[in-house]
Amino acid sequence: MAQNETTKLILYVAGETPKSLAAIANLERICSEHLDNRYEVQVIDLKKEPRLAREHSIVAIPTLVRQLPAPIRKIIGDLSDAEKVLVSLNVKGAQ
Amino acid sequence: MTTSDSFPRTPHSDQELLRRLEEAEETIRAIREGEIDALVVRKTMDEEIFTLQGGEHSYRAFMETMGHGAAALGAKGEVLYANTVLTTLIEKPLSRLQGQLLLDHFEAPVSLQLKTLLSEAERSGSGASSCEISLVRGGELRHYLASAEPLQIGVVDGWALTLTDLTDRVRAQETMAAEGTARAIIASANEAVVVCDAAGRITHVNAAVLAIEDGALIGQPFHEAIRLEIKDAIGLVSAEELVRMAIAGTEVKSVEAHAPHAPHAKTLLISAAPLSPTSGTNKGCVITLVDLSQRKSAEERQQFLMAELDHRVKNILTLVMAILHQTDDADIKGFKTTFAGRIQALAATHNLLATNSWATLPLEELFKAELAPYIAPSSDRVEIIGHRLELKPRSAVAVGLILHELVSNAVKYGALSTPNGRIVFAVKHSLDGKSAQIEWRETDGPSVSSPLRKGFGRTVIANSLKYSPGGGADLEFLESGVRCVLRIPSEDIVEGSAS
Repeated sequence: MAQNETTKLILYVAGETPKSLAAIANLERICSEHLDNRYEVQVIDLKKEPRLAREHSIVAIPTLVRQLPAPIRKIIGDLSDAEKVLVSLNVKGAQ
Repeated sequence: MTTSDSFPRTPHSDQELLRRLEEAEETIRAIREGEIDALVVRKTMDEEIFTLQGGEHSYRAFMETMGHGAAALGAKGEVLYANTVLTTLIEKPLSRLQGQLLLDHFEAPVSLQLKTLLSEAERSGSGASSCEISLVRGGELRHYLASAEPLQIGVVDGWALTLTDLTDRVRAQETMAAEGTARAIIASANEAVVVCDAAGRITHVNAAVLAIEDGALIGQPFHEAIRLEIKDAIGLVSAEELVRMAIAGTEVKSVEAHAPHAPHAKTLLISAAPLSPTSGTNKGCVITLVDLSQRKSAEERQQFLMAELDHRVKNILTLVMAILHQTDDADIKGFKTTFAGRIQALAATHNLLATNSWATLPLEELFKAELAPYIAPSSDRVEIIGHRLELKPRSAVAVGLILHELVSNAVKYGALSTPNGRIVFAVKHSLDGKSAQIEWRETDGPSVSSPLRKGFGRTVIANSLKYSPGGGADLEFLESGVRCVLRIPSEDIVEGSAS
């Protein structure tokens, strides 16, 4: 992974389902506690825009997609296990 | 939670196929293990989202219709949804609460209470646990019943938490308790207590009020229900005005009034005070009416007694002076003995009257008291016949002096100067009904002759009871013994039973 490359994360949620809400809260916490400021997070509500599921072939919600750096990785679930999320993302700046 | 690398939509290699298979398997596993709660289903043209918990909107709509604060919490206490009542209570929008731990949005003590509540609910496994919490909102302390119950929301284990506002109920209970206390205080008061509403109509009275005015008082204007005349007042001051002043917030203290229509006309001391002056708005007034009649009566009685005492002291001094002037024994020793004896007789009568509160004195008791220094009244030489009489103070003093002279004479010269002499003391009514007649008769004593000189003793006997037309005494020196008939004015006697 290039050192100066920004981490771009996209969280796909479905309105305000419990798992979606939990995933948003958990991601906010992980970002604030474990990542430096070189990351970009986008939350996409598929209930409002279902078509956007196509881009990353999203089937289950919530799903977090690490779009950058390549290769794309997906984490399915509410992100409640922060350590597992960090390992899976293998993001730079992880503490 | 599961992870996988993604790959192009059209697989070009075994590795990509493997990754796609892996992702599919992880998705299935995530679904099976309840890690996701929505799926994307591709229809002909568009994708569609299906939430696995279903009915999400219906339960939210239901929560919104609840009058209580309500929240659906995840397993860790994070807010999944909170209705408007609760978000208003917490003073944060739903968007800032969702996903956050609800307990973090309460003050520490309340947060601890709620944490304990959730733990209890978890231990019980089913059924609601509850506790009361207090929150300061809008500057006032409000009371809530917090209830928690395990809740399954789709695939999620969580909690249903509700906060029911008990403030009005708690205040109503406090008000009822306070009112109960107030009623008990009013009921136990010795003074008459009347409570009026803001319109001056009576809402409460205690039993003491009935001694001033009976009938249906509740609901009546105070000034009409309890008829009072304010003492020394000009037309501007009335009971109606006193009540109006108290309701307006001005305390009225110790106004003397008369209640002419009371079962027993009374003099009253009236005070009136605003009701609940601390609440900012006067809800009426409390009026106390203290009965001064007894106090007045006691004062009048005291004044009367003081005048009576003054009168009696003057009378007794005058009497003592008369005794002094008319005790004319030639030698000083004889004078002292005679004078002292008469004063002692007077004192003895006074003592007996004082013992009987200066009301009446039994004649028999007076007779025995005069005899006692010389002979036992129970002796068979003494015989008492006839009715019992009660003497009023004026006649008692006179009869006491007369009996003293008769006894003294009998001891010196008459029946009591010999061992066998006897005295008969007979009480009977006079024929004209103006007096009671008492006969003193000495028998079996030495022969008696009329003394040459008329001393003070005979003067006392002859004149003491002449203060009234029916009173007087006749003294005879019969050879067989002295006989004296006393006529006690009927206005100074009270009839007793026959002995």
